[in-house]
Order: sequence, then C-alpha cells, then structure tokens
Amino acid sequence: MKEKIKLFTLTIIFLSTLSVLIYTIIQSTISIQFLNRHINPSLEIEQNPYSKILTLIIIGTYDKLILRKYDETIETIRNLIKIYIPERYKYILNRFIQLTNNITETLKEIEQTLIEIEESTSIGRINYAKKLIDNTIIKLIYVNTTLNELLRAQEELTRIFNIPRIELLNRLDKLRLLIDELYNKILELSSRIEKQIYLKETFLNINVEPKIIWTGGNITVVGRLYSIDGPLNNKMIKVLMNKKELINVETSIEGEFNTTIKIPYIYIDEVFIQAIYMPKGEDKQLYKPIESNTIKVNILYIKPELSIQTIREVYPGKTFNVRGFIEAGVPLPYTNIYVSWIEERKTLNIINESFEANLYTPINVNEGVYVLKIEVPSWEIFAPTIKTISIQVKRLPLNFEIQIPKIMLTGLTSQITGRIIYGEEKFNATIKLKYAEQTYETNIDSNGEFKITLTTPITILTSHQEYELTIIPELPWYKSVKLNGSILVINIFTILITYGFTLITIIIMIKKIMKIKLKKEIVKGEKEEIIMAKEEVEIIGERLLIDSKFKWLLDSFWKIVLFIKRVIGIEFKASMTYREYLKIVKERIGIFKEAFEKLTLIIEKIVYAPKISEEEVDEAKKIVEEFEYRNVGENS
Amino acid sequence: MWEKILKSLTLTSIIVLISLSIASIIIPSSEDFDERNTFWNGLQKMYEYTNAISIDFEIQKIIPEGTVLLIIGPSKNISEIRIEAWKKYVEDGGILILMDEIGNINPILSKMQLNIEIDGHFMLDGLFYHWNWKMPKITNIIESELTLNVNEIILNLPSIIKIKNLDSKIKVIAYSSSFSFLDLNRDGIYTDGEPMGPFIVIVEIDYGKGKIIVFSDSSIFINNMIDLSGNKKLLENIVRDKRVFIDIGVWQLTPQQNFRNTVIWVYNIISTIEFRYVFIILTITLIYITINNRRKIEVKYELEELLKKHKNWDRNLLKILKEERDRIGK
Repeated sequence: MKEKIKLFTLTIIFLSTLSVLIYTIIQSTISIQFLNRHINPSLEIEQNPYSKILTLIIIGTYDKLILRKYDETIETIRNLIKIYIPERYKYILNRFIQLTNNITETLKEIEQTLIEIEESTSIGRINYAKKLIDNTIIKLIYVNTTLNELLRAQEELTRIFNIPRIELLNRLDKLRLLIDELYNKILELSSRIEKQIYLKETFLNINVEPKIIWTGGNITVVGRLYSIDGPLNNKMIKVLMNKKELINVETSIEGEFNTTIKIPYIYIDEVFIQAIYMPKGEDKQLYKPIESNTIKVNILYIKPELSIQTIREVYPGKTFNVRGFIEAGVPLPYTNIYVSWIEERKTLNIINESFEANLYTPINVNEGVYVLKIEVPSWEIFAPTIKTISIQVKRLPLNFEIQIPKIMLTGLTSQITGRIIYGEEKFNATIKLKYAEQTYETNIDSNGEFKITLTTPITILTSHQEYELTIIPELPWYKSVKLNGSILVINIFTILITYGFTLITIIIMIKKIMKIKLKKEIVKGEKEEIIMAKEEVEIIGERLLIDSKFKWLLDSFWKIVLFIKRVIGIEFKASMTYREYLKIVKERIGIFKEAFEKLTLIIEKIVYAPKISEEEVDEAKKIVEEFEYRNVGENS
Repeated sequence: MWEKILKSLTLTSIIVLISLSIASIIIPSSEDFDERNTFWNGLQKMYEYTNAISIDFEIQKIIPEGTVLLIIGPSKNISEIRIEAWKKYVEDGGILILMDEIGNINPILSKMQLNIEIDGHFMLDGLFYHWNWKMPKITNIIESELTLNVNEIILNLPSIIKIKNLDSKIKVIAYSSSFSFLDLNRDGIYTDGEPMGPFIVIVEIDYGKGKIIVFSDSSIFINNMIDLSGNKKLLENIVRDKRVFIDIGVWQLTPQQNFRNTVIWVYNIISTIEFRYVFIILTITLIYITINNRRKIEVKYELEELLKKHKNWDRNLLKILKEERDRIGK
C-alpha cells in the first residue's frame, strides 16, 4: 500500500512538472510572433547619435556663433543637451557643449559691453569707459583660453561621433578671427578714448523749475554749455528725463538754452532731469562730449483710496451685492469705475463717493476662491487704483435620507426610496442610478421624495452588485451628491438548483453509506461466521471423516436451534460455543430445558470428543423424537 | 485490463488539466498588452497605476461620463458593431484613446469621419531618442491640460499621424524633432530620400460631447515604457479622476490566453455562492465514494480455500455442510 502511494505521488509530481514545462515553452514560442509593435531595449544595442545630423547641429551652432547670433546659439546649445548620448561618452560631449556655451555667453557680454563703452565714450564718461575696457580685455583672454581647450577637446569628439574634423576646425578658426575682431574693436575704442583726452573740455549745467510739480505740469529747463574757450553756441543739447530723451534744444550765442517741457501724466514720485551734449561733425575733433548735472523733480498726484465691504462666500447661480467707497480728499472728476468678477466686467457709477453693484456667479463655476477686482481709472492728476478681494464660491450641502435594500432577489423588483430634507427653499432634483449595467433616472415629487424600482436580471448570479446613485439638485447652489455601495443579489433559481442537487446527492450518498455499513456488519459477521464455520467445518470435517453416521443428529439439532430462534429470538451465533448458547436459552425454553440440555451435551461430544457411546446416541434419538412429536422443528 | 488503462488515462488527463490550469494562472503571461504580464511588453503597471478594468466593448457597455476607454494596438479586424459602440460612447461624453502604429485603426478613423490616419511606417530619430533610435524622444509638446508638467515623452517604434484635410477640431498635442525620419525600408538607419520630420505623433479631436485622443504608438504605456520620462505623467493627466477601461476585444488572443480566460471563467463560476460550496461538498463526496468503492469485500468461496488447505477432504461432504449452514443462517 505504501509503495502504491509513493508511486502515485511521484506520478503526480512528474506529470505536473512536465505540463508546466511544456506550457512555458509553448507560451514563449507563440508570443514571439506578436512582438512587431515595439522593441525590448535590453535586447537592442545602445546606439550613438546619427553622426551626420550631429555634425550638422554642431557645425550649425558654430556658424550661428560666428555670425554673432548669440541667443540663437544658446538656444541650439540647449537642444544639444537633450540629445541622447551613451553614458560612456556623455562627459566628452557635455564638456564640449559647456565650453561652447561659455564662449557664447562671454562673447555676448563682450558685445554688449562694447556698446556701452561706445555710448559712454560718446558722452564723455571716459573713466567709466576705461574700466569697462579693462574688464572686457579680461573676458577676451578667458574666451581665448576656452577656445584653446575646445581645440584640444574636438579631437576626441570628432573621433567618437564621426564628425568631420576639418569642418569643425574650420569653424573654430573663424571663431578665433571673431575674437581678434573684437580685440581690434577694443583697441579702437581705447584709441578714441585716448584721443578724447586731447579734446577740449566742455561744461554743461542745468537748472529746473519748479522742482515740485503736479503730474502733467510744465517745467522749465535752463542751462549753459561752454568750454574753456568760452560759451558754445548753436550746439544741440538733449534733455533727458529718467535717461529717456525728452527734447532737443539749441544753445544761443551765449551758449545758453531755455525750454519748457510738459511732464506726461505719470504717477511716480520723482523724476530725474539731465542734459547731454554730443559733438557732431567737426566738433567731434574739437570738443569732448559731456553730460550735465541731474536735477530731481518731485511729481505730485492724487491716489484715491478704495474700500470694499467684506464678502465671505457666494453661491453659483445667485447674485450678490458689492458695496464700497472711493475717497480722494477732493471731488472726483469721473463717475465710473470698473468691477471684474469671474467672466463678467461691469462699469459702476460712483454716487457720493460710493458704489454698489449686483454681481452674478455663473452656475457652472467650480467651488473655490475667486478674485473680485475693482479698478479706478487714471485721470490727469488722479492716479489709477486697483483693489482685489478673494471670495469663496461654495455650494450648500444637500440633506437627504435614503433607503437602499441590502439584499435583492433576481427577477424580482425592489425599491430605493429617499427624500430631500429641505431648508429654507424647495427645489426639484434629478436622481440618477447606475446599477447592474442599467441606468435609471427619476425626479423628486412635490414632497421631495423619490422612488426607483429596481430589477436585477435573472442572468446575474449571486454576488454583490455595485450601484452609483447621484442626486443632482436643480438649484446650482446646492451640491450634487454621489453615493456608492453594493447590494447582495441572490439568484434563487441557481441557488435552489445547485444546492437542491447537492442535497439530493448527499441524501443518496448517506443512504448508500448506511447500506454499506450494514453490509459491512453483515459481511463482517458472515466473515466471522465463515471463519468459525471454517474452523468448525475443519473440525467437523475431521470428525465426519471418522463417523458420518451422526449427520442426521446434527441436522435435527440445528433444526431445533432454528425453532428456538424463531420462538424466542435468540440466535446461535458463530462466536458462541454450544454451552454458551445453552446457558442463554435454557431458562427461556420452558419444558424443553432438560431435553435440550442433554441433546446439546451429546452434540458437543460428537463434535469435539473422539467417541460417544451407543447409550448416548439412543438417548439423543429419543430426545429428537420427543421434539418432533411436539412439533418442534424447522417447519413448526 | 482495459478498465485499468482507461482509469489510468482518466487520472493522467485530470492531473495534466489541473496542472495546466494552475500553470496558466501562476506563470506570468508574456503576451503583448496582457493585464497580468509583468514583463517588458505587458500592461500590468498601467493597470496598477490606473485601476483599469478590462472589458469587451461589444458585450459590455459603460457610462460615458467620467470614464476613459483605451484601445491599445488592435490586432484584429474591428467589427462595425464595435465601432458604432465607440462612436456612441464618445458622442455621449466619453474619452476615447486610440493607440496604434501599424494602421489597424485607420478604418475606424475613416468610419468616424476623422481627417487623420496612421502612416504605418516606423518613425526613428537619430538624435533625440532613448537608448536606441527606435525609441524617439518627443520634446515638442504643446501646452494644454493634457500635457500639464509633461516636458518630454519616449515612444517605442512609433509611426506618425497624417492629417488628410485641415480640420479646426484637430489639435496637435505633440510632434517629433526635425531630425526624425520615416524608416521606409525598415533598415533601422537613415537612407537618402526618407522623409524627415517633424511629424505629428499625438492629436486630440473634439467629437460630440466627448473627445478622441490618437497616439501613433501603442507602446507608450507598456511596462518598460511607462516609467520613462513624462510617460506616466501624461497617463495621469489623461485619466485624472476618471474610471479607466481597456477594450480587450480588439486583440487576437493566443491559444494560451484563450485557455487562461477559460480557466478564469470556470473559476469565477465556481467561486459564486451557488457553486462554491456545492463544488466543495461534491468533491468531498466523490472522494469518499471513490475510497469506499475500493474497499470491496471479497467473500471468498471458503470451500475452495479449505480444499486447498486440506486436499484429502471430501468435497461433497463439505458442500452439504455449507449448504446447511447457509440455509440455517438465513
């Protein structure tokens, strides 16, 4: 038995393992044919960038740089960084990019500085220009050094990425030429500055009146331009306000000038007035350019004060009132201001320095904080003002009651009922329900109640079915509510069929089991009997071989035993000996007690003893005849 | 003997069937786009990130509002019924995502009267890519709600979208670099004459109350792609606050997929309350009967046994004895 179990277990393990292996092999072979939509990177080689295009980009970058398109160059460099480079080569290209970027940015700064140097020189700010020149020279040296590093780095770069070396070297040469050009420019400017030292000094003074003025007002600028030789007449002077040119004016014979300027309507506290003289034509070779002293002029204006009442929250679909005040200390010259709220912009009237408006919040707007803006326009001496406040847009919560069944039977209907608990106002609402792949929709009645009749199709097996219930109020200032849950659905038919079938099967099985048990007992008893009988037969067989003439006696004895069994119900079991059987029955067989006792002992002797006497046989015969007389036997 | 052979075959078949069934569930799938495929070409991560649900749109319907339906790399002909169902879904407010690089969705685009088509040739990029030219990096992304905080995405052997006629409803969302090219001869490198970029790779189209988003790549959300660059962020933007469904009825199933689906279907049936306990009880009962039937009591003919033991005994005599005993015993 143990061997069988071992063999069975090994067979199961073997078959299972074999099945799994075969399954895995089949799966991997069949799947391959579908893999034509994408690649597995781990099975693909890592690629370098396409050298032709990379070359184009790098060469193109230098072309732009050489043409002094610095911003475009920087943009191209930014794109270069996004290119994919295998990890092992990243340092090389990144280093090259970094050096190029450094050169570009420095050259851009140099160019800008050169413009500044030129401007400063043209207005006679020699010392400042000299400082700038010194800084620029340092930067140029840096650029030169960086270019040398680039020349060293290009060798590795061109080799790894298959970039034509000659092309790149060509560009780097041109870059060097550019640097030389800039250097020459610096030299030229330096020389100009030097020359300026030998030009005649000029002097320019101005005065402005008034120094405090209302915005939009007029100021008078007077000044004088002269050199060491005397006044400079018929020279053009530029008058600037905050470095921006306001007006040109010509000096008189005395070298003086006088002009009235209208200040635009600006709302800043102060401006700075200055004049500059830039020699033109022949004067360039004679006189130094000069800028005058700076005069501060204070600007006056009125800034109205805005105040708005606090509004905490508003509701979609509803209007709300906005009130506020505008104070300037003087009567306002205008009557309108503007208010902006979400998608609306309105003009409001100002009445007695106050304003009021009803604003509408759109119904579709989401809950959240929104900004209300009030704008006061500018008007001559009145500065513009803007004030904002944050207002919360929210929706009112919806109070409701709802009854949803916890269990449903398929094929039968059930109901979901509910009602809305109103506050101050009544309104309509739509109820939508998604359940068991069906959609239901209804509206509430006049009492705010609703009822949805559900049916679960018979085709759905016993399970939890999810539902989603949405209540959408008609009034946009109430929140919609969404409820999710599940209902236990019982399919009575499938339950009955399956469990009924199971129950019947179990009953049949139990019956069979009982029968088997009974049979077992009988068979067990029979087995024991057979064993006993076998032993008996062996003994009897042996006895009978010796003396078969007592068969009739044995036959008669067993008939009497059978009779006793029928009458008093006691069986001569195979496990009993003759004496045991006698002991059990003798007190219950009445008048036959003595006779039966004698007979039993004789039979015992026949079966177990080697010999019985003739007298005993005769006695037995008599007893049997007596029993037969009294009709005790098989057929009685 | 035949009975023994039959019994052995039956038992073997049952063991093999059960082993294969368990294997089909336990061994991770390796099919393209399979929900349970954890390898590079599966969608297991996408399902996990989005809590997506697989459906067959021809059989099951979903409510359009608040949902997204993805059609990823269809590999079989799409029926008219399915296309009509998708059309209705979008018209009623759903968001339909079509992802394909081979051109299998072109008939669908045509039937929906959309003025775009998938070219079908693979687009490579020799400069802006990830690891290999066949995985182009897209950095030209138009700012929109869909592409919020997405600076770049990586594609895997994509194609391109061609606009047949100008249509104001079509919005280009992303396009490739100027150095990308169509690999017409499929040699994996640029050959003179092959068209160069930029090419459109993602478009968004307003359709009815909903919208359709078309990708010229079905692989952007597979396991080995979804975590690259801005791919996951793009997915998050698409599915934000929405329930995600994937139509699995567009794929040609492999035999093992069919087998696995059958196993799952059977498992789902026997997992229901109706069958779960019935199955257990019947199994136990069956086992019990089988065991009991084996214990047949063999009642041997004892005379034969006796005669074997005692060869010189009289058979007739023993027979008489047995008959008497049997008769009395009854």
